[in-house]
Amino acid sequence: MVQAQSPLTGNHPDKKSDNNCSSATVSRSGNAHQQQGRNSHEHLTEIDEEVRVSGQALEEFESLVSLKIKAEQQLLSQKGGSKKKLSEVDEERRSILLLLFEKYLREKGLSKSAEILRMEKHREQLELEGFTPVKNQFSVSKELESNVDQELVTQYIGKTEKELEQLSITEFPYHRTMFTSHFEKVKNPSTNLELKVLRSNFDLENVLLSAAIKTNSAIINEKLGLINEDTLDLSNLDSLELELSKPIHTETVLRYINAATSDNLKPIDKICLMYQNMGISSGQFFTCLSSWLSSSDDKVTETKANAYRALKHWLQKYYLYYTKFDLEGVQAYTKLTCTLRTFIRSNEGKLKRISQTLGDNFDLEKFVSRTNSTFSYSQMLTAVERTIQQKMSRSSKLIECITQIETKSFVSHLSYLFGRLFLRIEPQELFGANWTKSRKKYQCPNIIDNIDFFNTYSLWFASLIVQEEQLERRVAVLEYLINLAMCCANVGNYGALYAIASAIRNGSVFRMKQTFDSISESSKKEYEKLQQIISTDMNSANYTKQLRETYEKALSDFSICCIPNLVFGSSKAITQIHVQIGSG
Amino acid sequence: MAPKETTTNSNSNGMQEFKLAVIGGGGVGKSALTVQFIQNIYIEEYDPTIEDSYRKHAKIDDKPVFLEILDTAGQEEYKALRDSYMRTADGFLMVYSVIDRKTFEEVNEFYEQILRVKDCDKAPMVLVGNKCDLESERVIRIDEAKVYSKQLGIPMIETSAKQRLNVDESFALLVREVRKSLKSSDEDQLTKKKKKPCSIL
Repeated sequence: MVQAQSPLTGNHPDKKSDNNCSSATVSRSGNAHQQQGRNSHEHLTEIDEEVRVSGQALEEFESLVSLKIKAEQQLLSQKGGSKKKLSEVDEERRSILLLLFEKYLREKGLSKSAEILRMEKHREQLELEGFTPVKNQFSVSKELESNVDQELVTQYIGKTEKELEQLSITEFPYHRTMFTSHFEKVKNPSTNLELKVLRSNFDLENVLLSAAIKTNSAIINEKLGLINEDTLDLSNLDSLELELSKPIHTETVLRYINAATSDNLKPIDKICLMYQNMGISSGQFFTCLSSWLSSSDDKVTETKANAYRALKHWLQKYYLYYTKFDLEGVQAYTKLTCTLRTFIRSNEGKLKRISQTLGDNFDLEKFVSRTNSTFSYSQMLTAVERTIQQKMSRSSKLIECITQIETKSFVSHLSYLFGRLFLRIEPQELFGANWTKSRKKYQCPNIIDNIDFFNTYSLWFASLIVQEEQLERRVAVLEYLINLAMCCANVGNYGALYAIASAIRNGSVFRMKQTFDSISESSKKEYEKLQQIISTDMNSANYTKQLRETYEKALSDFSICCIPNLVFGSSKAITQIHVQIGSG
Repeated sequence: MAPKETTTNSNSNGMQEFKLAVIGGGGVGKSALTVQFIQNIYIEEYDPTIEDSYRKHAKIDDKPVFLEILDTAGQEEYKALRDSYMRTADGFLMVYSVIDRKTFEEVNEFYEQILRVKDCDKAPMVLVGNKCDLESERVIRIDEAKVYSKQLGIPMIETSAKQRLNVDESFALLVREVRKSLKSSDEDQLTKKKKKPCSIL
């Protein structure tokens, strides 16, 4: 029915959050049960905070779910559906919740209990087929809330299998009463339900937390009661969403960001991580901050300053990780970026005043627009290629990323690109220097391709440096490229080496004396070496020598690629190498 | 590191040492010209194999000079490399073919790029019309080239690498240009300390 450890819906948090959650779980039970001061008091308060926040997550989750159901119900009733149909929708929801709970048990390593739960469900299902109890449509969540709570789950942790079994037997009759009503109508819960779970917007983490927390049940009940009214119509959907987007965690966030000082940003880290690990949109955090920052009061209060600091920190450290390399993340990220931009633009004056008071010249808008183009690594490389193919768009889109790409990976990608083209060259193309003559496009199309590729890349590398407006960034890119060129030399990719070297020696780059003056000593040394390799002295003797050596090495060691630059290598050597590579 | 790359103009013996680049469009005979100048032979095919074949001791205007010739044949399409070799060279032979108008028109592109890379108004250059032995196929008249070279403010000469006509002369002309520019820049440094190109016309 349910595959153990199966990955759930998209926004499953990383391992860290998992650990966090279970630690919160254990401590929570410690708080409720033992209260023997095993954990420090401070820690407990923190945990309580976390619990509170996650409770609010549950609240949102619940209301959204209910809203969804309500909407579905309305649609159904419009089609002339009966009350019976409404309860079907409920059933679905209930089963989904239960399934999620089962998954949760499995993920927490409680496969035994999960198995028992599954058996139990199955049995109930068979027993009660056809039986339709009249129940409050929101009973599930309430029951989940009150019955399947954290304490129960934590009791299972650390027990042996036998003990677990015993416990389950003693515990589950209690649950049976709860489950009885849920599965009477689910005849084929396996495939259909599984699909629905995957398609639904249910967040396992939230369900998990909903099971773990009772603290906010009053609020939830209130909210549920509100939605429970039959008067709810579809137009309320918007208003509810609006309500949810209001900063509801304000107090918590405020406490954390006020605790932070300019030297100690740990509290901000804590709250950011909390949001991140809770699977709650970081947008919520941003909403909190923005409400203070954009308040009509013109005075720069302490709260505002703190909020500014927090916003800056969050942008620098957490905003970038928002995507988490998955598609949904990227979408959410794009949305968030839009909101961020509008916010920054509409509150420019206020933000400026705050930053002036803090004596800080961080440009939020620039940061957002720069980082907006952060892709995942593979996307980045594809994008690099695409940009080149589009004849280098002039936007500084990728520059931020270039220095972030690991040199080794970049070199291997370059070797792939240059090597792929080089291998296409047919031996007959190399005769008689036909690529310099008028019929070059017909006689040596692949050589021309190679040369075009070389030129495009070289110009692109040069533009990477030139596009940077700030000196430090230019220096960083230049150093990176020097390092990259040397790495190319080490792997024998002389095509790329020449492309980078000629980019650095491009007139527009070479003119920038300050940039060259401020590169580090080690980079200077590397640059000297680079110049020696590409020196044209003695008809590029250094290069031809090195090329020959690399070629000898490449014959025995296949990890070296040896992609010569067509021009300076003697045509004989190239032909030789080419034939070798071609046959190898 | 300040990207200073002026070549050493004198070697350990006190002899002047110049790096000269032979540039121009594809198939104008750059290699033929270079090899004819250094080895006194005419080659049909491009074969840049021997490293030492591009260095030569010469005596121009009774003064010995050590020349290193950078033959850019085969690199015409490598536009990204041009900046790099233009910076290293002291003087340029801008070669075009008198039987190919396209190569003549390309000269302007080279001229402008050299000035841009050298970052000054004037650089030692000589305009060379090669293949002047092929009189029947000629499309660039010598008057036209002369007018153009005057416009650029550089000397002009017609050569034939095949018949070894004006080959040494063209290189001698360039060496003179380089010396002239060195002298004027020395004078400039004495008078002003700021580089200013001389006006010879």
